[in-house]
Amino acid sequence: MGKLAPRSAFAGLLHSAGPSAAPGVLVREETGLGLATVFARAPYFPRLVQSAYGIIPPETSQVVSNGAVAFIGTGPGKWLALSRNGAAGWRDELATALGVTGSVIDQSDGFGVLRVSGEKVRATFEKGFPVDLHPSVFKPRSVAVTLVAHIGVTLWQIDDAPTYELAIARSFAGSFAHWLTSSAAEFGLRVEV
Amino acid sequence: MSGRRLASGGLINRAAPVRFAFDGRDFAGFAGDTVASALLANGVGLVGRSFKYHRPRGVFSAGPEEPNALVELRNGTRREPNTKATTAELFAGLVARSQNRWPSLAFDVLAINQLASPIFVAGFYYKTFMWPAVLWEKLYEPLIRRAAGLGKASVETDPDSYEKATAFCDVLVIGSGPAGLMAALTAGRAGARVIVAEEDFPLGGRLLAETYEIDGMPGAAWTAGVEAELRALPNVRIMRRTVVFGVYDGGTYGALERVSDHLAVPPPHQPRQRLWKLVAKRTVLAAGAIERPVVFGGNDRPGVMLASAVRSYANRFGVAAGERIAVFTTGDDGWRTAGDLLAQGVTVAAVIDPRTEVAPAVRALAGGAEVYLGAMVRDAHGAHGLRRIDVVRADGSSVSIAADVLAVSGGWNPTASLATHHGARTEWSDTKLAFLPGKTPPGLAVAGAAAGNFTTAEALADGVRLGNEAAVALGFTATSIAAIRTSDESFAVAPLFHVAAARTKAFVDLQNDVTVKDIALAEREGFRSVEHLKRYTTLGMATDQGKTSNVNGLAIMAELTGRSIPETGSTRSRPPHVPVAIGAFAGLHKGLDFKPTRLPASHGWAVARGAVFVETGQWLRAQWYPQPGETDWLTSVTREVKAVRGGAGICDVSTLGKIALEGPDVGAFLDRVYANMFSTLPVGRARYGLMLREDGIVMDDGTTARLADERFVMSTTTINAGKVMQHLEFCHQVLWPELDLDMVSVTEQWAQFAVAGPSSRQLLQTLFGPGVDLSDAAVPYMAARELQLDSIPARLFRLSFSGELAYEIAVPARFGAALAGALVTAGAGLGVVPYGTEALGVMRVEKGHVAGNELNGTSTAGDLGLGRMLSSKKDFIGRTMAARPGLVDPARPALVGLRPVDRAQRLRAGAHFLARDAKAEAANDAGYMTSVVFSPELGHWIGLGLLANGPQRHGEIIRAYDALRGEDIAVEVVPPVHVDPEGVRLRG
Repeated sequence: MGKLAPRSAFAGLLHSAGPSAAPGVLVREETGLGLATVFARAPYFPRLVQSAYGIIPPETSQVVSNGAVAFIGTGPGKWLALSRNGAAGWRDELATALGVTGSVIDQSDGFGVLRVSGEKVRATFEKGFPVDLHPSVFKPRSVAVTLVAHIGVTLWQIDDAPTYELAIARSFAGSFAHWLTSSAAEFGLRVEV
Repeated sequence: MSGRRLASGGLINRAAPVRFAFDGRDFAGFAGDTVASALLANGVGLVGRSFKYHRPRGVFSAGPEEPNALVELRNGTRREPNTKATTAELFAGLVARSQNRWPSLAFDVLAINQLASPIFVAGFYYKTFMWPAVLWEKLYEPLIRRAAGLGKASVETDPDSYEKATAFCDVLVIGSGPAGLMAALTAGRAGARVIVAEEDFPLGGRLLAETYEIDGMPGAAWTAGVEAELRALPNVRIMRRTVVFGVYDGGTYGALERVSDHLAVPPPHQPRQRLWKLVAKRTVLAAGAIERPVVFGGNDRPGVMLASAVRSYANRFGVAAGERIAVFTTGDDGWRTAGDLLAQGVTVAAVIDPRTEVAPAVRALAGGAEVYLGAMVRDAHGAHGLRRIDVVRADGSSVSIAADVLAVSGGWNPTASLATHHGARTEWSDTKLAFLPGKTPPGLAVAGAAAGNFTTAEALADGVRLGNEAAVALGFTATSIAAIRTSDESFAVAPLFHVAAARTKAFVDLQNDVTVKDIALAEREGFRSVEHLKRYTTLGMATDQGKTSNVNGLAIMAELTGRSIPETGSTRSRPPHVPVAIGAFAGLHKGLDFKPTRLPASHGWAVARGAVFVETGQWLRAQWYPQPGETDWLTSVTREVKAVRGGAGICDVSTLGKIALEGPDVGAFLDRVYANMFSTLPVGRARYGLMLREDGIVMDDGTTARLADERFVMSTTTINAGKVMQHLEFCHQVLWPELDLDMVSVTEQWAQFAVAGPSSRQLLQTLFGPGVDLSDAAVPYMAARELQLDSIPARLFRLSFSGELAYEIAVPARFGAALAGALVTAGAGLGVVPYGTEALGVMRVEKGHVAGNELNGTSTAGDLGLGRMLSSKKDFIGRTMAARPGLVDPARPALVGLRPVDRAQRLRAGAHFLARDAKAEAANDAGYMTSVVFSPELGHWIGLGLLANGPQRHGEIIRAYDALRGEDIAVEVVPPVHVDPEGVRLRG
């Protein structure tokens, strides 16, 4: 048998819309990410994370990153652990690093991740996120686990631009893309590759 | 012509004329006009017919309280009935039509209803159409609906889109009159995040309609200055054309933004309207007040208007509502209408005030016009427009005065209804002669006229005070605002709600044609509470919600019953404050976007193969794959089943719920949530599990596999995936937090396919290659393996729903579509087919497996023939309740198989079981058919059903009675497993 060809969650689903000059919203699918749901099971879990990655998993709805690896707080003692070095081996690497102090479940294919930025990103997100994204409230490293148009979304802010990343369960990618396209079209949505 | 545009003045743009049409006639207005102001400017006084009596009606107000001037706006799919002409902004090419008239506005056949008015009294339909009741649906209701009722909705699909959005702020200011502007400015200067929501298209509220000066400037100019400062503040957001319609819990407010209502067609990518959820820490309600009319005879004649509206049309829109305008006022405010009209050069026919004394400064506003103190307007006359009024003096003498407009002022009602949305009632004030807000929702304070502080100076001061209070409460520092100079106003008013001497029909509620007589009738018949009064007479219902009628109605009831107004009742309202289109609540979620659609990884692959899809919950699943030449589903499904049972087939089962469970206590946890034992499950094996609810009824079923000592994966049905996850989380977090395990849904992570049929092992061997041992010894029935497929992690389970040798193979979802293709390629020489949910269903019924139709929330394990799965060696959820006598009664309907005695007959799901000689009535009901399929294997229809004493009745002939389709056939009760009862094929 030949190799199975992968297909990303948002493949073929994102389309530019609205005014194309100076689009207010830019979107790109982040492929090649390793994702895992991680639960802390023992008190020395944070120390093992720190020794492996140099970061301490946040205890609140924050994201802490060393550039390549990020721990995104999604609940008490629960994180979405993200690696920018690809999905292959990510779950096993984490499981080895954490041993019995944590449970690690591969979710690299469970979510599609979008990186969204642009001048009108907050104005767009206002049409779906029931979350206060004002810069005085939601800042770089802030995380929200929420619902957008009846679709579960995990949102975290990357920088002040503002740039956000969003994780959406794979099967909802089409419906989420429809919401994003409809909501951003008035400002112009450009899909970047 | 009874009206005209004034030579100068107003906030309209005279350089921007706008053409529009009303009832097919072409008119011109200006940018800044409403439909009502433009019609008045063109001398159109008659704009509609009333609800019940089809009486001619004209523009009554200049705002959202309008009861009369409701028009159909736009054409075709955008036709919008019951639009208030007083708030609809004029745009080029606007088309409006009057409503509730036939054949024409001027000549209306149903105006004859007036002659029959004795039968149209309060509660008339309950009385007149009482008997015979069977005629309600067919005769009375259509008749009433044709006679009454307002505009007609377009029944076409709305071509426009709607959005929903959420915004957060520290301080929400509702309204932008003097109080709202100052509240926003003080809170904004203090640094609070402020949202100002204004229903109208410009900011300013009454300031736009009055001639007061503030800080030496006209109100509109002063407003522009404040607006400029607010716009310059980055922490202030101004939302125009946005009405706050409801107050909800936790500082949440509902608001509707009319994004494109003022345009012929929404601009590209813009919605027609946007529904806002506004979340505010503090709110200042500065919604102003609505003028109260006085009820007298003929007070519905076109030309009888609120005095404040006449002032609005003159000052804001540069329109004289009439040529000879009389003023009937019970307070000082109405005199300002006379003064403003005189200043614009409009003839004031007379000023009538029931008070015998009026302050000299107020008296001076009438200039040289005739003044009648201690007098009232008794009746107004003029069929299609006001011609004269009868004024009665204190001594009983009367005088008739010619006028084409009568401006009426009976005081002001604060617009405090939002403050009552949490259930508090308003409270009557004898000094203000108005209902004032009582207890307000948490965080909400009321400012200005909405609080009964009617003068401009009071409103400005209220705004500053409450804006600062809100800011300070949120930790900001108060700002000081220099004293603002305003024109002096007085606000004396006398109580007069209706003129008892009226000789002609006197209307309390113009929109619902409720007269003083109707209220008297309601009182005589005992409907004296305000709630009964409203429902019996329809007073205060429909699009205006009684904004100009409720208080008068209540005051009249108070008079009739000899009680005070507070003794009679108070007003309270519920959301929405103004009508909101259902489309706005739906937002994007209409048609196929009503709910999100979930697509399995193989969806595109199935589309390319021409699959027909079915919705299962939010998922779209392939139902069958028609081949060229196949024209009906049964042909396709039968072919798919035969191909699976004769060779191999693949089916995407990714939609089934998958839950990863990890930790040392998973076994113990599963023992408690499943009815059967799981802690004994060896690594590398899967087991069928049955989950009960606390009440002993079956909740869900599925298989759970043990991949490693502390690592399990559970499967659930597609439909119950979310519910089971929620249940397990609850059990762990609330019931047994001491158990050491973690769980998370991995439904989305894995794409999983059933590979079924006698050739399935061969197919998988081709896929995995010779290096992987798939022999029965290596992968026995119920084995669970973690493997690599071309260095991709894969999972292989030997499970069978079809009864054939079968497997389920899972790979990370990104490879799902490719795996579907690879499975078909691997099975090319084996006659492999993709099969859909229908074939899956056929095979499971043939095998007697229960599914959603049988796991219906009322069946027990015993009912489903699974009673032996209830472990007696451990406790589990539902165990005790499952033992209740009613749930273990052997006479309960239990699972059986069915087949037609005449094999050519078709079975029907939902058919009820009856003994052969039993009469078809509920008392003889013995259960029903839950699932039916055509069995390709047996060549006839087969079914599953729940039959009383079912397991003891194998071999009996009973009836399947289907009253819905008129069928009544003989069926034989058989064991539920129709095909391969020994399970030979399963073990391959």
